[in-house]
Amino acid sequence: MALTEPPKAILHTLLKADGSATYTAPKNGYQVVAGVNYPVEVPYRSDEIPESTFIEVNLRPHNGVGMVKERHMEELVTRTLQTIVLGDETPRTMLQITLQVVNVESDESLPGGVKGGGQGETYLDLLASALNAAVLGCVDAGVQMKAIAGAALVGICPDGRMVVGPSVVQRKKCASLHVFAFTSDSQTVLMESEGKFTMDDWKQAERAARSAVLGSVNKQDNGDVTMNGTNITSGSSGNCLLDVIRQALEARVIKGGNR
Amino acid sequence: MATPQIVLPGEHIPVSQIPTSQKRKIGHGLRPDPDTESFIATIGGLLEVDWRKKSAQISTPNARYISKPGDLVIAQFRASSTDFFHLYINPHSPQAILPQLAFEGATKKTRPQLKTNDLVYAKVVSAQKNMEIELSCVNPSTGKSEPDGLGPLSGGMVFDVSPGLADRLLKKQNVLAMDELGARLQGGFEIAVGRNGKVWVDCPEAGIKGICAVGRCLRQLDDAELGEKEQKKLVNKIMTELERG
Repeated sequence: MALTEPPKAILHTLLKADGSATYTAPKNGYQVVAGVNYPVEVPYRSDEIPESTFIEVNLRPHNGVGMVKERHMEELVTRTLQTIVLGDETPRTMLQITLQVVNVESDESLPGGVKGGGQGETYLDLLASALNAAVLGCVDAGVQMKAIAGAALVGICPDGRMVVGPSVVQRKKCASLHVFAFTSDSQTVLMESEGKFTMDDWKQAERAARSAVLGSVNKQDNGDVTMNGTNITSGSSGNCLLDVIRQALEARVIKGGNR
Repeated sequence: MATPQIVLPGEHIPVSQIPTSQKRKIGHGLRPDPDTESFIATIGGLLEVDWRKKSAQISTPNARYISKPGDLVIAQFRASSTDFFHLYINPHSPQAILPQLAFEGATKKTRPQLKTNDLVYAKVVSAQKNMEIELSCVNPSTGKSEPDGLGPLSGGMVFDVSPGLADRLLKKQNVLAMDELGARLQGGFEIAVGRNGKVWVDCPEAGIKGICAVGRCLRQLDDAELGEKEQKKLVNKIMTELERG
């Protein structure tokens, strides 16, 4: 199951940051701007890690100030990044990531409209977008990483149907919501679930998320298949999250053809 | 030269694409795979392999500039002490020091007199964390400022560019517009490129207008990828606007 409408990613949208990216979730959902500063001095000596990089994530909601929900998401994004960033390359420094939600999806079909992202509501929908934006920002800033990661949101409807990247109205109706993140070498680095579901549902959701992030063809440990984006990206599903990240990087990198 | 190849972190690069010589130089963004002979990319960007120099590295368009020995930088003079000039490279690097005698032909009596905010084109000698960066304006083996043309920069203007463009300018990679502009501008122009994302331009005959034309060209080169034809078009546009005033 591929994403019906692929997410959008643009690298280097901020001028002064070392790296930045704008990520728009599928179906024009959440839009998150990530600003990355790396490597910078650690402000407090006590935070300094002698053999690794200290990762700080700031998440700002679209309105108001960050509260418990945001702190929790920051923690989840930080922990996921810790597994993929090669911290020992820049010891005693800090990787600072600021995520600003600039747009939330709203559905105007009902009177008054339906919006997501309130303080009392689920955090899973934003978590996937926040993690993807953070990873894109890190790619732009040239952060040394073992692999890249991507996350996808999967909703399970009461009738058992899987929806990858559900819209705001669909999310309200879903029996359960799941977020999974995978690295490009197809390892699971994050799983968060909410709602009522069975183990079978969960496994199915994991599979759906995996194909949305990595594509339907299992492209792991590929030496020469994914090169240059011509042979495989057009061949397989074409709009999985890793392809979107690759396309964003290709649009940004300036190829020096003539020498 | 091999076709440009874009890699993402975590991608395997087979042995066949990396020089295998004993003396090969593996640069930034590549690390050896412990299990096989191949390499794994750790940053996203363009894989650059030079078979003649037996080197391979990944270049990113924009990452923070961190000084390393051998880099050419444009630094700004801040203060002077008995034996050193103190200079500024960029907002996040420590202060740099430049020995007052590290200029071509400088002696105690003939050393250059720098004023605050003067610019110096210098080479990084040593850069270590939590220490001042040491610069030099002479080639240690010959005692001359050539072949890099190091020394104080007078006149002209400085433009901020991304470290990626500075790299490309130094390697003369896909910056045809600069050559073209040099041929079209009256009297040509003089340019010094610092790896810290600063480009100094002087245009003695065409004056300020010429300098601004070069600056506009640099900005365009930084914004988007331009092909050979587009770069020629860009130069044409800049030149017509310059003549119109």
